[in-house]
Amino acid sequence: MKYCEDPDVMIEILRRLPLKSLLRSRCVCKWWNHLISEPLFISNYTLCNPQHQVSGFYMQTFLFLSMNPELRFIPCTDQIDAAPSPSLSFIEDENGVCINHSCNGLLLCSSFRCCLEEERKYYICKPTTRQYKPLPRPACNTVNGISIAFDPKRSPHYKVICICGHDLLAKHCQIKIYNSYEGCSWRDSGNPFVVLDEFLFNRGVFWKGALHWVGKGKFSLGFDVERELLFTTPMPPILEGWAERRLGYFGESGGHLYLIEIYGPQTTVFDVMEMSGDYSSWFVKYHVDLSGLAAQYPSMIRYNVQDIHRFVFSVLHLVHRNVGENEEEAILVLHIPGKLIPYNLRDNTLINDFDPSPHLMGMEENLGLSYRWESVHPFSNTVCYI
Amino acid sequence: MASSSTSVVVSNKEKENKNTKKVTLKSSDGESFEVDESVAMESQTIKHIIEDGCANNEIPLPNVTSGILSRVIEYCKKHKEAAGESEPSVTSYTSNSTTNPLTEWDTEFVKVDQNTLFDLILAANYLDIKGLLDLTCKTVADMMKGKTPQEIRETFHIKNDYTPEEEAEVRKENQWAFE
Repeated sequence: MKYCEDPDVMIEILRRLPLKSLLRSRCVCKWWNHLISEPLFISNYTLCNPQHQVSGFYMQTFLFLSMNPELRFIPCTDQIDAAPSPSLSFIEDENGVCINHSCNGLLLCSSFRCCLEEERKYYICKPTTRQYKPLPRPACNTVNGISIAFDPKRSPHYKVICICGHDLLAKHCQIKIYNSYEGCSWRDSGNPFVVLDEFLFNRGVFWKGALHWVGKGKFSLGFDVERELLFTTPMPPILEGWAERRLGYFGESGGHLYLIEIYGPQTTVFDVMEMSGDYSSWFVKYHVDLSGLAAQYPSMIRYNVQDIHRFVFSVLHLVHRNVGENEEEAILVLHIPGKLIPYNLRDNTLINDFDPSPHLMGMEENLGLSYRWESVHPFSNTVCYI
Repeated sequence: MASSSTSVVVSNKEKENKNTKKVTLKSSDGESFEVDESVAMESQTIKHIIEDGCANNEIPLPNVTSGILSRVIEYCKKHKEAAGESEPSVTSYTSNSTTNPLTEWDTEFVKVDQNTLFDLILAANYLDIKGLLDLTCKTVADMMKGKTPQEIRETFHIKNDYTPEEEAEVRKENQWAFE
């Protein structure tokens, strides 16, 4: 029949369907599936259906006897109904599943309770619609880190970058890439490279088309995904008097890359640094002093024998948003014993109307901190579905 | 009456006639419909033809049959009238019925058989009449909600070109949508 053959007409009908009906329609025929999978259709649908977009973060802890890690999801926006359910049990893996990396709405997960790397399976997953896809194994004995590079504004396809330990050359790594467009297997990218400093390969951050791994020495490492080039960016000098760098947070939000170093625990003062667009340096974007917070929440302070205060807090997440025309909003989610506290970086105040406590049943004050930034995976889905 | 005055007070009726330009629309099966220009311009396609000065005698619409064209004209007339009586209605992007005073009329308007409904969609698309396209497409989308893929195929007479294995795979990928 004629009307079913006109793509413009079909698109006008399909885009008015609610999300579940739309996804069911993919099963009707190949042509509809093709129309619904077109990047332009997806981005228009996403724009017209903002109720499905949620921004927040996962908190993951590993419990001794449990098959799966414990996951909680804390939404940072109003669309709480759109929040993904924190359980990943829809991924069928007899060893349970944990989150390795998160990027623009995609999660990279892998088998949790398995001893040998060759037993471990990897998955790309979209938790809001519970879609997931197993990836072929990277085929290396040691995986130092594995991250997704995904920018839905540029392409519906994603790449997965794996930093493998080299089997023969000590202190060498090899990058392998999986491309969802090609879809079959991993391939080596470039030659093995020597790694002398310590880099947090398991905490990659995707920013400006490159994956960034923060370093504990003089440099951070970056990998331009498109051009497959490794590069270094300078880290700020380690604070005088300290032998080791104290990383407090490293992440991206709203198109900016942030770094926090906290030379504690006897301090409540630290800077939030932002990387300049040309990668030349870090500059101080916000200066934070939490002494007011400590006064309000005594659980944050521990006293030891010599009456020196020790402040117990960690930074979990930084959210930067453009609100309205020229307004920016920047919120730090702090963790103190038993609580999550959102903190407004622009005017150094606490935010009262964000209450994550319904999600936090079971966090005990006495046990100190349950989470640090490495246990957190930010999540914001910028498109409605894979 | 100051009859010697040179200024002429134009009565309302005369004003109406002066401003009421007409155009003639010709359907694919040769029938002619004379309508007010302002009503015809609810269609962006026709509006551009008129503004480009190409509407001499008749505007031929080879993609629209007389049966459909008469309905489309009915829609445009009704919506033009309603717009004239009140504030210009902003046809919202998602046809919010609480702001559309013609909701009831529109609902009756689309109570037609499926073929007619689809022909109306095609006409609204070709003639670029946003409100009508919105209304008709939404009606079809509402018909699809809650149906299984097989039911949708039957409603729309679509052939299933998936093999059973392919269909099972797509279904599994989108399992969440079936819960």
